[in-house]
Amino acid sequence: MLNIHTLWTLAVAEMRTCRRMIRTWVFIAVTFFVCIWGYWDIVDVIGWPGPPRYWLDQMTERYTISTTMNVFVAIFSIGMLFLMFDARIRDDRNRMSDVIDSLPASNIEILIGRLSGVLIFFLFFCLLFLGLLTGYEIVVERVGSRFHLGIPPISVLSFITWNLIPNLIFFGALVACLVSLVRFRILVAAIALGLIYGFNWIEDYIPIRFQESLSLFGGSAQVPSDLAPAFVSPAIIGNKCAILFVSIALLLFAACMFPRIDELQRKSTIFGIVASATAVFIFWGLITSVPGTEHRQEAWVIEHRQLDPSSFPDVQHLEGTIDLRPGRKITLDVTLSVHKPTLNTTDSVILSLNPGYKIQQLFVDGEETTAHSFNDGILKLPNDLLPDLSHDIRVRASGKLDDRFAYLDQEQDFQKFPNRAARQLGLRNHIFHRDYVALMPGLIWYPISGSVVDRDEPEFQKRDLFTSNLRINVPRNWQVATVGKREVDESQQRTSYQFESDAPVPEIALLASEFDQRATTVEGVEFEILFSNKHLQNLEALSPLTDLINQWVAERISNAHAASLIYPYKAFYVVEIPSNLRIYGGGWRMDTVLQPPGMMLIRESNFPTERFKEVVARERSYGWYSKDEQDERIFDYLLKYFRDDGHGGSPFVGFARNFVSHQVSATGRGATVLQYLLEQLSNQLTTKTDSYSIITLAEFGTSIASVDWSQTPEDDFNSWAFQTRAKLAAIPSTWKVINQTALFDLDFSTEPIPSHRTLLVKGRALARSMIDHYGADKIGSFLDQLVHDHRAHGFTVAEFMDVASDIGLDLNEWVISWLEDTALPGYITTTPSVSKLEEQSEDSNNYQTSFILHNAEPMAGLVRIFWEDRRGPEENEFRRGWPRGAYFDSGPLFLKGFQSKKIAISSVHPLGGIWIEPYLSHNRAVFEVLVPPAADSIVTEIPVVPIATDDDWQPPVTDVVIVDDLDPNFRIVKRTDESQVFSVSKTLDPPLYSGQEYDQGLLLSSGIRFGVWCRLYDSSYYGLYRRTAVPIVKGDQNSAARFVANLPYNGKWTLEIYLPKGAFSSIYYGGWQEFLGIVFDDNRFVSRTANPDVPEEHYRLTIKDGSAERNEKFDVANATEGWNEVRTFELSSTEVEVLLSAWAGHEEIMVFADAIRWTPVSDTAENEESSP
Amino acid sequence: MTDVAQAHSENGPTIDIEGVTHCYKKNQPVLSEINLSLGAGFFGLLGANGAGKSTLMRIICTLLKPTEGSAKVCGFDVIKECHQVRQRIGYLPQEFGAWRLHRVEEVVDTLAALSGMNNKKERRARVAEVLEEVGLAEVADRKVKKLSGGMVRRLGVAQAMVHNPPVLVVDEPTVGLDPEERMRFRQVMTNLGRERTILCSTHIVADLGSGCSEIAIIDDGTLAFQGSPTKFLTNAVGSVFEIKVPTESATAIESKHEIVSRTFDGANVVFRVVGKSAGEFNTDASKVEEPTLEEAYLAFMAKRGKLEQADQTETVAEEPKKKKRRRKAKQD
Repeated sequence: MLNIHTLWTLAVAEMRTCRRMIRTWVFIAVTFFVCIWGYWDIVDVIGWPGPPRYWLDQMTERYTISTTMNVFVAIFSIGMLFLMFDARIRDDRNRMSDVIDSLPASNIEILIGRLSGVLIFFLFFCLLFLGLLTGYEIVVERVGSRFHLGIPPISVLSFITWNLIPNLIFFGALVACLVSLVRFRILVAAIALGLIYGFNWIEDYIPIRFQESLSLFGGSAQVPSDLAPAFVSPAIIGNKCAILFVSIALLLFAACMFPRIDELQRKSTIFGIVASATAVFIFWGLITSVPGTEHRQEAWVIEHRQLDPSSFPDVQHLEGTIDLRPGRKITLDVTLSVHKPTLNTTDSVILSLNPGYKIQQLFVDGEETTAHSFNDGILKLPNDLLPDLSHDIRVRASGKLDDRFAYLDQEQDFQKFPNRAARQLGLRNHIFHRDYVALMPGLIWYPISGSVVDRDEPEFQKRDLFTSNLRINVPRNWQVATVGKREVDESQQRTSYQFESDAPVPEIALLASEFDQRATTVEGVEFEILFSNKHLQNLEALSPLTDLINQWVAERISNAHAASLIYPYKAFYVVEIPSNLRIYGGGWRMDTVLQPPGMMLIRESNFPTERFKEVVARERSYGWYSKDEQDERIFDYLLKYFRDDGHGGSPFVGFARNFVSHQVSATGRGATVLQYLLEQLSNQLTTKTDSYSIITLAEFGTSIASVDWSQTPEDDFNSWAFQTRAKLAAIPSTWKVINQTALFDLDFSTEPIPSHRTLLVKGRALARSMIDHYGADKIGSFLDQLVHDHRAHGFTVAEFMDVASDIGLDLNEWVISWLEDTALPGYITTTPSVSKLEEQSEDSNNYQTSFILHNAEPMAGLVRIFWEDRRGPEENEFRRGWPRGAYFDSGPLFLKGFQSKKIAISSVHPLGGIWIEPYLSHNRAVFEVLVPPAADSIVTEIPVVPIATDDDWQPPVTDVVIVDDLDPNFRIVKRTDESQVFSVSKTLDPPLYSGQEYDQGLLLSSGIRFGVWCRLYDSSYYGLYRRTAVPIVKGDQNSAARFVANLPYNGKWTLEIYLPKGAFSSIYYGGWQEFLGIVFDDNRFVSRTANPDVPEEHYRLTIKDGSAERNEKFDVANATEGWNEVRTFELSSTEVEVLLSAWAGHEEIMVFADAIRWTPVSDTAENEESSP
Repeated sequence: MTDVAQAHSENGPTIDIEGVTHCYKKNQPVLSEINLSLGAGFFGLLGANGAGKSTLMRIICTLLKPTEGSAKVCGFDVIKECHQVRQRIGYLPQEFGAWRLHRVEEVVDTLAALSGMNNKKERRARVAEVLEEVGLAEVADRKVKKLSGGMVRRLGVAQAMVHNPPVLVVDEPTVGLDPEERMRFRQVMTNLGRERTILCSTHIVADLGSGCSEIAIIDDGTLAFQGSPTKFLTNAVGSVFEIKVPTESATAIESKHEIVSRTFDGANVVFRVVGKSAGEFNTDASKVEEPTLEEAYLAFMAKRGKLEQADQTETVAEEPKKKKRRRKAKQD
């Protein structure tokens, strides 16, 4: 059917035509330019190390070629299109078509021959480009310049093999088919271009689990790795075969539709159908294999969920030998020392083990038995075999682990997402490659107690803790890392390592490869760095900082020792892992798996392959710094890098967990919260930073509303995790749960996300509060005692309290309330007064600013006060917002319920601002105390007083009634057409995680929206705990803000309205659209203050008391910031409604609904303000 | 015996057309019930423009499927065994061009390879030989777009011949050729026709020359005549008459009679005219006993009332389309 000579002759002729057409060279020049530009763009961006962020499509740049050069393929596909789409028409134009048609070549030969010509021609240039690129990379890397990606050749080869060639063939065949089908070449071009776009577009919607099978542009095994390289996978082979068959089918269909008589037309049709069917069959097989996997996993979950927790033994100790034949087999010979479950209501005892093993022998107390069953990963031993309390169960098994049997109870399956960034979190649950072995605990590679599901619900299934003593046999020259200190035996052909840990662990990870090993001992703990030999450049670049790093580590260990916390495992391993290893676990939390006991795992795509060499070179070039200063700066950069590691590979988390949370296990009610609290406490005592991991903040792909307002706290770290947590703490949906559900009542299994947010916010605040209130020493002693009393065992809340009580820590004072109750403190302040020294000098305090800080709620809590002393005499404006410059910190201040403290701040200059930062309170975030512009009094002396002293002040009780926009009596109402009566707007109850946040029914916004009442936050707004207001611009007369006040009595009352500073600003969003007189975006508007010369421009109020209704005008044009009197009314009813219309006479005038105040008009009424 | 000759001897008529009818549009046949059998030799296919010659040739060359009937080349059906047919034919279409960006030698070499000449050395030698034969050896390196119309035509002849096909189908081969080239072409065809079947369609009878062994005339899609030139000439005797008149009387003759040819003899004009007998002319007319082939053809067409369509004026081959801007610039 196909004659090679014919094909080659046609190909040569086509190549000749291609190279002699000008358009070809223009296209190639443009393509080279675009690709070089794209390459340079990436080079420029990745020049400096940047921490890996969760949810960003952050690629391993070195594998950019293999995984992201779709643009390259698309461009060359377009080129193919424009060289092939008019091939037939060119023949007609050249009057060659009759001659060619009379040649003894079949249609399929003509098509394939021509396609081959174009393909070979383009491939040459593709390979030329890639060759030049690779050559450039090699040269530049040798020279030491940073302007390169470091592309490994396998990436290029993978791109060519799995992406470029198959796609060019496919696309060429597609164009050939279109050319045969469609007469008009413009239509061919349009359809083909549409298909190119469509193929690229659809890539973004293919779920990860199908990407290898269905993606046209799949590169090498999706997540590339130097440590465990996988050039190909069965899915890729299947995918490319299917695409090849599709290409063949297209060509065959093109041949039979070709406008030329061919005796093979019938055969072409038949073969085309067969090829299509084959392609469909392959794709079908690939697609259905995925649900097959899922069904299997679902079946396992069902089996494991049916297990009775009363049948789970307590494993005390794990001992034995693991023989690794990388890529081939694992042989397990381990003995578990178990305590039989005492309240077992079933007839067997349950262990779990990966079903990839085949159990060869099982012994109980030294006697072999076959009376066990092993199905679906469940190892059942009849109770008869375990008559006593303690037994030794020895399991001998071998096999290759089933990768599917891991994280079966994960809350979200990211592989169902199309998000490519999720792919970067790793797709393999374990690695068993000839060059690398990573056996993660979630894979159940050793026998464990109980089932494999719901293990992160300690309320129901206690976390099992055990000691270990393992011997690991590996190939010669391999290193192994697992928990415990290592001893080596190289006497045999293979290398053996013994790891013993008498400190308990909840799980064990095992990593092995031919690592480069670097070890040092710091404060009695042996630290080992195990990196691949291919990725040592950063270690070498940073080796001058060894002392600094050791010192830093020593400080952390000393911190821990000072807090009575001892690192239990003797050795700590920092191990490089392949980037295709999954980095998050299962359950609702899907926590990082990069911090197993005794280890910290670092992904090869992060630190090991980052460009710290560039950082070092840059810093060394700063000659004005001394070498020590340079080292400090480099080290700071390194810390910042890890601090913002969004993949959970931060040493700040990894190290701290070993001190407490890996050694004890909370159980019963509140266990999850207690365990989290312990982790927070130990983390903040040892590394003194936040503890977090990827999914705990990523929240399963939902987006956290990006809301910025001035009350959002910004700590001096500016770390990404801190800011993310701060955002979580600020959004209303989190607070809805905080206000409604106590920590101990959170249901993580049915409502993981809201429960988790609450835990992150309130749990962390509690930990921070406990440390600051009781002191690090006390908390450290508490943790130490807890570990001492309950190591390897579970403990309940009561036991937790008992331990605290034993060391003199009274948690009943307020801590237990934070755990068991929803109540929180709420802070208010009085208006500050400022005293100014008569004779001023720069060497002493010239001002003292005083105010009362009052906790207006029954729950105790802590705050910190910050102030700024930067205002110079020439400055006239107060600076609002968080201070950027130097600021002062009061340290933690504890206020019991209803307690007041007098705050006195002495300063050289007038204060630029004062901010109160509650650890957690109804205030929800930092709030500003507005400092008066001028001093209240001139004094001759500024007394030296403590920052905070107890005070008896209590909020005065008055008859003044204030209705704020956060009060339940505030609503937005709309007037219906029929009745002309305002009715309450339907309260917005949007679904959670819609991306928009609603605060008590109103859209939360960072700016004013036209035509929509929305809720804003700003320090200048009025509020008891939270400073909010509800403005609108371009409103209409059918909508109003309603304030309902319940007055203590009727009679004469004065109505005032609060106007914040924002009500007097002008906002201009016109821009070029206004200039042109065209509005494309409805949200573009101009808003301004009311014009005093235009009588129509005023607020419109309607006051209703009882049956009386009065319309009032409020002259906002002449109003001032703060409270403004409207009028005094004689009210007959105690329930009074004030409607503030959204319309103020012109669409450009903002209407601010912040607060109203009713003050009785009588001699005995007190008008004292209780808050600004 | 050469392969070519063997191909002729083994399979009966080289070209065998039976009852071929072809319609481009419904009820508008371009060819009607054509029956034709051709063996080795040089055959001329005559007919006016639009008679159906090219259509018949395209059918023979497997480019068109006849509406009815069948055609075989060397015993192979042109539709069901088109691949076999294509291996045995060389075709020069009426309108021929080539890949404009390719060189002359490259075009012929490529088409030779595609016609089955896989041995590179032999092919190259043959290409050189053929280019020499058609007079393109000196421009072998020139790109097609730089060739004149006549050169392109010769290139077409070269590509049709290069692989020594047993059947050569040439459609209006001499369009654009100068008289010397046309004579040369006739000689080439005559030589080639000794061992192979050459079917040459033309409306210029002179192209056929003395080497033509048989002619067929297609008129309005039907086969009006098939036979040897001798027979055709014999049939024409008694149809062509010679009249000699003074020049001033020439107009009267021209207006009254079908003129086949005219020559000038001093002050007289010698006309050869179509007629049934000498007596029908008002002047002295003598029967031409040996009319030429052109005269016989014109007489034949005149009898069918299609003398004008049988115009023997040579048409110049259409130049390949060039960019209009350049032409306009040149004209300016």
